Amino acid sequence: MSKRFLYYFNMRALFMGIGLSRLLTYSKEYVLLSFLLGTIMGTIYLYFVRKNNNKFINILLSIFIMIISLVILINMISTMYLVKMNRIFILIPFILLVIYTLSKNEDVITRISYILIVINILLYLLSLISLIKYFNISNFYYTNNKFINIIKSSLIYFIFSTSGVLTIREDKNIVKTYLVSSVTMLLIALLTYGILGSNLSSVLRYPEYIILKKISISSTITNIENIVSFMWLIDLFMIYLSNANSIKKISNKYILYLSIAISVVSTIIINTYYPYLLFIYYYSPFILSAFLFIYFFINKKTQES
Amino acid sequence: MKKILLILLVLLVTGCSDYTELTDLGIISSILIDYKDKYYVTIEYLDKDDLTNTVSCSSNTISDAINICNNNIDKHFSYNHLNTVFITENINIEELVYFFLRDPEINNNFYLALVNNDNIFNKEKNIGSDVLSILKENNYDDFFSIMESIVNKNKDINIPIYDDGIKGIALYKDNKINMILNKNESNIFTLLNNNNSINIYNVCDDDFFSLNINDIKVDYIIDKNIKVYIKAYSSISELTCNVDTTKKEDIVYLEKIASDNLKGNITYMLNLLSENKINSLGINKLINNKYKDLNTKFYNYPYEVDVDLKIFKKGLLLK
Repeated sequence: MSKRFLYYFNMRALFMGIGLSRLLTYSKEYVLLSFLLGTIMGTIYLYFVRKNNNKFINILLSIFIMIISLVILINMISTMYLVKMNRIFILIPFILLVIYTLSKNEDVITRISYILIVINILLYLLSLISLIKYFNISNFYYTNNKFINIIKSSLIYFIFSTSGVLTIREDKNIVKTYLVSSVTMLLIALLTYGILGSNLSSVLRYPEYIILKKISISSTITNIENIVSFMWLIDLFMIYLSNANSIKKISNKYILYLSIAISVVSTIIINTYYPYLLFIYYYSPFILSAFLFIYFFINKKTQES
Repeated sequence: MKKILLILLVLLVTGCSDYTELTDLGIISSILIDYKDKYYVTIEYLDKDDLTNTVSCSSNTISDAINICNNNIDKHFSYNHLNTVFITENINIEELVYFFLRDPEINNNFYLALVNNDNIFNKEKNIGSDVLSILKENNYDDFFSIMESIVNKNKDINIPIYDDGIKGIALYKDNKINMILNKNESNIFTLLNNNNSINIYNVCDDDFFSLNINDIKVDYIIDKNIKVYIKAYSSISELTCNVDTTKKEDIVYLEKIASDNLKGNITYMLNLLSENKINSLGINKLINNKYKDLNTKFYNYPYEVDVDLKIFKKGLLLK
């Protein structure tokens, strides 16, 4: 079975709460240009950099992505849905579900992605159609943004969109899926900036969630942001699951459980103290870019040899 | 092992901890906030039998005052259906916006209204819901638009004044009340914000006629001066002038009077905003876009108003 839907989820997942808010903060009115440059960089990178056979680096990157995705997921749920609930009670069922899914063979995960893609696309289209009327082109007003910031936001897009698929990629050509996911993310970014404007999209932690609060279908169906934002939960669930599965494939079950335990303990520690969360927010692009560089370096060495 | 996992999963997803029964929820309809040395908060919430109840309290911060109110009643406050927030002129609007913006439980679709006294609630009525309907019907800015203008700093905000009905609009400059518009001025102001549900009173000789604006489009074009193009489609709602509406020249005559009248009113409003340097129409960002300079201001540019008003309905009467 093709893994293209898994790639699609993984290319989008890291934007929630970290990627998109940082990207919009830098790009401001030049969202389109930033996405174009970022997509070009990502396409070139994914075309030339193939699967890496270095187990240690793969496991390390998978664990880091699992930590980021779990931190975002638990924070998102405890901020939006279950505000007063203890985060441990959110974490435990999620981890149990992941362990149960991992006890099945790989085809099950791919089949889950086939089912979830339908729900994801439906929610995506619903949000797009209901929010398009709030899009205001005048929000793309002049802010005296510097070109270096556009480059920074392009790099952020490139880093967050490509690092999620490095450990799981198998197909030779994933550029088509990358382009499709880039278009969907671009539309969300344009919509977010077009609705919120420059400063507001920078001060909000989850700008892509705040715009969902405006969804109103013929004035009768309102307050459905929690349902529509499930598309982000699906992305995060799939990136965690697929990275855990990639560890399972290249190592044994003890390393897999150890990796899951590391991600859980790290998430609990990070969630107890806000500056740790800020560390993830500010430094995750640098850590991910280091991995991208290592992958590029290893790939070059492999091709030369 | 798999079965144990499944049993644990099933046991853990049966409900939420700290849940509240619907009957124990105090669904907030509106909040009135005043400031005199400290914050005075009155919360209108839904009680049983479709009645509303209010609870008042005070503290040094808004959140603390609301918490005290919540502790004084036997219900747990829910903000999901917040309709209106009433504020007095003493409230720092920027602080208020950031307070509501921070809380994930509060929706952004409620409305803000300015009040002069704190005696607006009535047990028999759901004031928050009633005011929301009026403000929504008349296309006033909701909290989301106000929040957007304040945080993006690209537009001065305006908030309707409520006193048993909408009595005017308070125009803010740098987040402080600068000017109060009366009912007629408010109509012209809302029209400049592309609101089409207003009536224009016109005089012809010793009589009058009234037009209802059905559709309006206001365009601001920045050149050497600010060109305000208004294209409006209207219908006759009242007519006592000695004209024959079956004749084209008489319709043109009425259109000319109404256009000149509207042009005069709009020029007056634009001058008022310009003299007081209030950027309520958000023209500054259009100028900044045009000249790529954040220091250019709309009040340094002259205006040119062009009104194209057409009468396209006369009602059931032929003449």
